[in-house]
Amino acid sequence: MSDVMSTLRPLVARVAQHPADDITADSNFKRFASWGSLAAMRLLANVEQTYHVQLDLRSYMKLETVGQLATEIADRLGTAAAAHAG
Amino acid sequence: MDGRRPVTASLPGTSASAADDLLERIRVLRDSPGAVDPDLADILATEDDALLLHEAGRMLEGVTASRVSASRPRRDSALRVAVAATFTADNVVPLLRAALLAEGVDARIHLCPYDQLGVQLADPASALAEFEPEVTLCLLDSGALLPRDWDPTDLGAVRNAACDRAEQLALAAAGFAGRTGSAVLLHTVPLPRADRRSVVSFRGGATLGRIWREVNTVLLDAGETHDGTYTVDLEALLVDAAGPLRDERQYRYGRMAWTPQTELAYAREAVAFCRTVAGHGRKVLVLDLDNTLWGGVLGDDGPAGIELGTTYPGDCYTDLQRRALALRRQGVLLAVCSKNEQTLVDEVLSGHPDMVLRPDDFVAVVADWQRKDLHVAALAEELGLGLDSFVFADDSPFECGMVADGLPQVDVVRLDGDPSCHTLKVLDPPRFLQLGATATDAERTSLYRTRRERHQLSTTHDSAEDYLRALDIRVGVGPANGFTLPRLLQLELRTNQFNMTGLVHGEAVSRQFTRSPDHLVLAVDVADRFGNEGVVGGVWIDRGPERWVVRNFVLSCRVLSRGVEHAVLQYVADRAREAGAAVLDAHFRPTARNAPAASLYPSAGLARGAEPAGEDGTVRHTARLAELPTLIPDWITLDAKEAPDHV
Repeated sequence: MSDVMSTLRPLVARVAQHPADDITADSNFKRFASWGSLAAMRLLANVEQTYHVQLDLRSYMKLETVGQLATEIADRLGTAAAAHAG
Repeated sequence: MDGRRPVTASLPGTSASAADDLLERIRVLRDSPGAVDPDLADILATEDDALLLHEAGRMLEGVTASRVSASRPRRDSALRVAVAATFTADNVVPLLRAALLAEGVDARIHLCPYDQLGVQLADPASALAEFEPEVTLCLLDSGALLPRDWDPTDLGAVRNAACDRAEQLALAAAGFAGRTGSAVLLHTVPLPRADRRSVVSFRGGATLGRIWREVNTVLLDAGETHDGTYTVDLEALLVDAAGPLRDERQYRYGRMAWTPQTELAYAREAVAFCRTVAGHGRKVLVLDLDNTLWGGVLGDDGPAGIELGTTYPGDCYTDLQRRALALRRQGVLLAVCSKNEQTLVDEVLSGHPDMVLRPDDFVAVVADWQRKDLHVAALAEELGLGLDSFVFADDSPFECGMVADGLPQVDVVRLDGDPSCHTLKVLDPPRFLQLGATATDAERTSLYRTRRERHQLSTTHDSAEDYLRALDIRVGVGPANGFTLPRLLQLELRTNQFNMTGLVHGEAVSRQFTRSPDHLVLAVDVADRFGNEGVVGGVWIDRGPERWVVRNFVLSCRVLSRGVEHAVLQYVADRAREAGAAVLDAHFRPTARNAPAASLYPSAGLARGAEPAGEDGTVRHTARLAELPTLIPDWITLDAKEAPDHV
């Protein structure tokens, strides 16, 4: 989870055009100045390209903080790893 | 530069940091208004990560083309480009901006509100009309053409409805073009997977495929017939795109009909259109010969030895010739700029049975040993064309670097690597852009050839110092050993152009020379910032107490015109002096192909001996070692390998 957080931070910073050092697990997406549905979709595309996972859009849209997104990604990565292990 | 990154290759922490570095670089540029970053345009042009380019494009708003490229923009004013789409196309705008800047085009981009394409085109008081676009990009998705409740059992009705809508869109576009003078770009529309799979029978699938192409034919027709209206075949273009047409989640959630990869493919094609409208199309293709228009080195392999024809790899070069001929027929001017013997080149161009291109296909054929950047500049002058209409294609990184360095306006195509890829490197991305063909295109070569003859001027022989200095050339010279001798023997046999006598010592004598105190065989290797050329030359020497004699000196034509020859002579003179000799002799014997080498010894200060030439034509050049000037150019670092006496 902390691993995901460290690589997720620059992605969020990129899409939100917000300094990476300022972004924590508690950062709320809606607080970013340029946030909106288009930015949310771009972040989703960046996340999926970077981590090679696919998120469910319904649960993704409910995420409020960067930390929640990191957990969601880590869950998907865990699922993927388990699937490959099987 | 052709190592395009696959879209999915970014792993967290590796290329992700390269991406952040690029964005940081752009941020610094954007935040310091006077700053320039002349390499940025090339990076943007070769980057294929659509998501990264999107963020780059967002940050580049307000940054002008002159700040990201070394070449001057060709227009004083920004090109006004409008985007009107039947779906959510907001993401296309930053990609367009990045791609426009990559091509040196300043633009103002206007995005029409979502799905108002028809209204915006038709209403004379619309925001689109008020923007007065010079280029109007109409982006369409299948939803704008295909009825939502289309019935697979009544495909005739589907056809009529969809063709009708395409017709209306095309007429609205043509009407806008006619009324406002804007160039309007339509495109063919790919049919999404779900629609294709909605027809279950194979026969019905064939019918749907035909119908959909009829719909696209309506759009293509508009681009063929209406003034100011053009159509790009996006459906065909996407065959080579990196991923799926659309992401179903993005389409359902936000009516985004294209994935980032589709958006990028479209944006790059749309930018090619913008450049055409802005008059940025290239008009002249300057081609190298050896390993470009044919395989092999003419001076070494001879006219019968070069690779052309129907089998690999000759067929690659023949294909490039065919494509160049096709360009010539469409009005592109072809020229040759090659380091070669002119008479030999003329012989091949007119007489080689496998040549597709003939002398009349070229506006100029330049084959000599001068700098290519000077030749290209002179050709531009003679033809009365700007350097920004030139494309230069060559297999040598050295020549490409020299032209790119000296003439940043020229579009340089580096044809290294497998010759199978030469054709596509020249043709894609598109460089020779025209809106429509004209009747004079086919005659343009002869028109310009005449113009050039009228305006012939001699090229100046300026020194190449600045470029050569930047190359960081390192020449290594030392006694041949078991590793280098085989390559030296091969060079002695194969090298024709820079071969001072054409006389072959062969393996037995050469090996004996390496062991004898009275002789010396030297191996020469060359490296520069483009890489290591390896062993490229050899020298065979007699070491007398008073007099050293250079019996033969061969050097691969790959490294000519850089001062390497003089560096090698410097090494020889230094060793001779150290050994206590007073005189340096060097033999030259003219052969059918070694004219380029004839001037070396006189240029190095070795005067022709007073005696007549020997029976085999060999001429002795000589100098007193104490009187020889410094020979090595100051842009070369000489690496003297172990002293010859310690062999």
